[in-house]
Amino acid sequence: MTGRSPALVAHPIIEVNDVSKWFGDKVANSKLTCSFGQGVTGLLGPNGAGKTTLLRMLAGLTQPSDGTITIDGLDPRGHTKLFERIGLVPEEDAVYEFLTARQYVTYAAQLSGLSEPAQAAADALATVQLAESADRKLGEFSKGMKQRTRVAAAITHRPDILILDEPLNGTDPVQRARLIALIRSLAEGGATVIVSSHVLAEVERIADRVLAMTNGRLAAAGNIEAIRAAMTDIPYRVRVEADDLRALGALLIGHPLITSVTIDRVELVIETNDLGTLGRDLPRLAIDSGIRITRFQPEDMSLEAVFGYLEKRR
Amino acid sequence: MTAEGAVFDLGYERYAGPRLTDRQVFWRIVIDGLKKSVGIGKRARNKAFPFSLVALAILPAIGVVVIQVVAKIFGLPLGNDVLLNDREYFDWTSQLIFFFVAVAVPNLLIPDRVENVLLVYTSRPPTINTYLVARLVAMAISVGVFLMIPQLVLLIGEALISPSFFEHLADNLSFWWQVPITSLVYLAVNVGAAALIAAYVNNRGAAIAIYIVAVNVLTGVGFGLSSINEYFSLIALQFWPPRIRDWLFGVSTLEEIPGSDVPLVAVVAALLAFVTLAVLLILRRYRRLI
Repeated sequence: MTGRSPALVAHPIIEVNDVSKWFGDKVANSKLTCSFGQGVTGLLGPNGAGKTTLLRMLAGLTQPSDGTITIDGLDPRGHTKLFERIGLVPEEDAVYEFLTARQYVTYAAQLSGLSEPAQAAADALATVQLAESADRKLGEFSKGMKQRTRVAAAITHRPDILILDEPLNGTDPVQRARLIALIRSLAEGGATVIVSSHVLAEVERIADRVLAMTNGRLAAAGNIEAIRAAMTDIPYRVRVEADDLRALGALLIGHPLITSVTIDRVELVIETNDLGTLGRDLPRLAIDSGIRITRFQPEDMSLEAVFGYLEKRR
Repeated sequence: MTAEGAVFDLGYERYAGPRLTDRQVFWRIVIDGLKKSVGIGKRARNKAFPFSLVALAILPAIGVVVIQVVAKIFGLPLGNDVLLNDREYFDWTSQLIFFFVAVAVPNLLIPDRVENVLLVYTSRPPTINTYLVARLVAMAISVGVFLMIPQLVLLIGEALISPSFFEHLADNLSFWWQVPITSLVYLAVNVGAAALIAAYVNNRGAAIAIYIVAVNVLTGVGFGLSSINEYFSLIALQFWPPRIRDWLFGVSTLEEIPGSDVPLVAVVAALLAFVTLAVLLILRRYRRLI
């Protein structure tokens, strides 16, 4: 662990410094300090956590009430040229339903100032695999197809900063997998991608790094394992299946690494504060006692479990 | 990448090719607005109303010219008379413009706002001010064309039946400032009121109804109260354009209308104050949205 907060990256493109945003009496974001660099950052939180407000501020659409946001050192609110570098997929439906996908994305390319908008639109539509439906009206599109069209409009000018607010909403599993692959490929190419979602499994699949928000504040930052490891006051829970549960349970009771052992039908539920050591020691203990372990599953390593803990800590 | 951060190889490069200038992007938005104001790109039913009004505006002018040409050819008494002059023609087109604007302005502003399409603009280099100015310019062009084309038809028609086509044009140089400025006044009042309402009402039908009712109620109230004090007639927005038009054309045709004794300067001041207030309120509304 270095001295730098996990909310900050080593090579920031976007820097958020002590930012708060309030609307009348309602505080949407409170004293956020974080930064974003190349790769995918997942912005995670329940509805109302302040994710969309933060994304709108990052995209220069909303002025922070306090604090500063900079992109490569410049305030996006005062430097509209920065918008040439940003692609935004807002959460809300933002399409002209009477236009075809091609017309819509071409118009977006024109607004981004591209000199050959038709070609750029065709390329972007092909990237999101909508080339064959490009001449259908958006009003006839499913929600997932509209979503992909909006992604196409956002990437038509090949931005190096891509801000996606709940981009996988309404997409079916196949479309979701394609969009995730697209987002990953943009990030692996060097783009700074920020993806918000309240669907935890999606963030886990997309993001290298997570900023978790609750009530407008940062609740955690880093990769999932690092966040979980930092929660020293909450034991890990592991489900273990073995050929002799009672013997294994008796062996573990009183072990210094173990805080509790419960038999749950066909498995042991073990709680420990040191998952790594337990993972190394348990097989040796079992072998020494002639017990065969058939499954060792830490049940709360998922982002959902981590976020459940964060929610409880609010 | 880890929690500590990492730098990827930059295989991905943002677009670095030629870009349109801000002015070119502005005109793209204007053209988009022009298309929307008359329903181009939408279903036929969306085009029916604006194009019907355009036809109603132009056809009488064509009819007048045809009658005069026919009369001249056949030596009928009408031959060298003007049936309807440019000033009088505003009485007809101003009625049509009222309904054209009532429908076109809400169509131009409300769906973008209600359906969150504003983000399409504001997440890119154009600012909200660019968007609003481009929308107003689109309306100005469509209303200006609406008002000017019939006038040009009349002018050219009159020139055709005059002894000398070019002499007639030369004798009517005042056309080139009287008609555009009068058109601008009609535009400012109608688009100003309709845009102000459309900025604050989220339902197109309601915005159309409110505009039509509000303008007519204000006219009734203004004229009604003018018996107490003639300056109350300034409440009647529709009273401003014909007053200014008559002054521009150097005639006086409104003596019978209540408040006609109100000095012209008061009418112009009311118009300027209204337009300024409308612009400020529209900007305030949109800046709160973004």
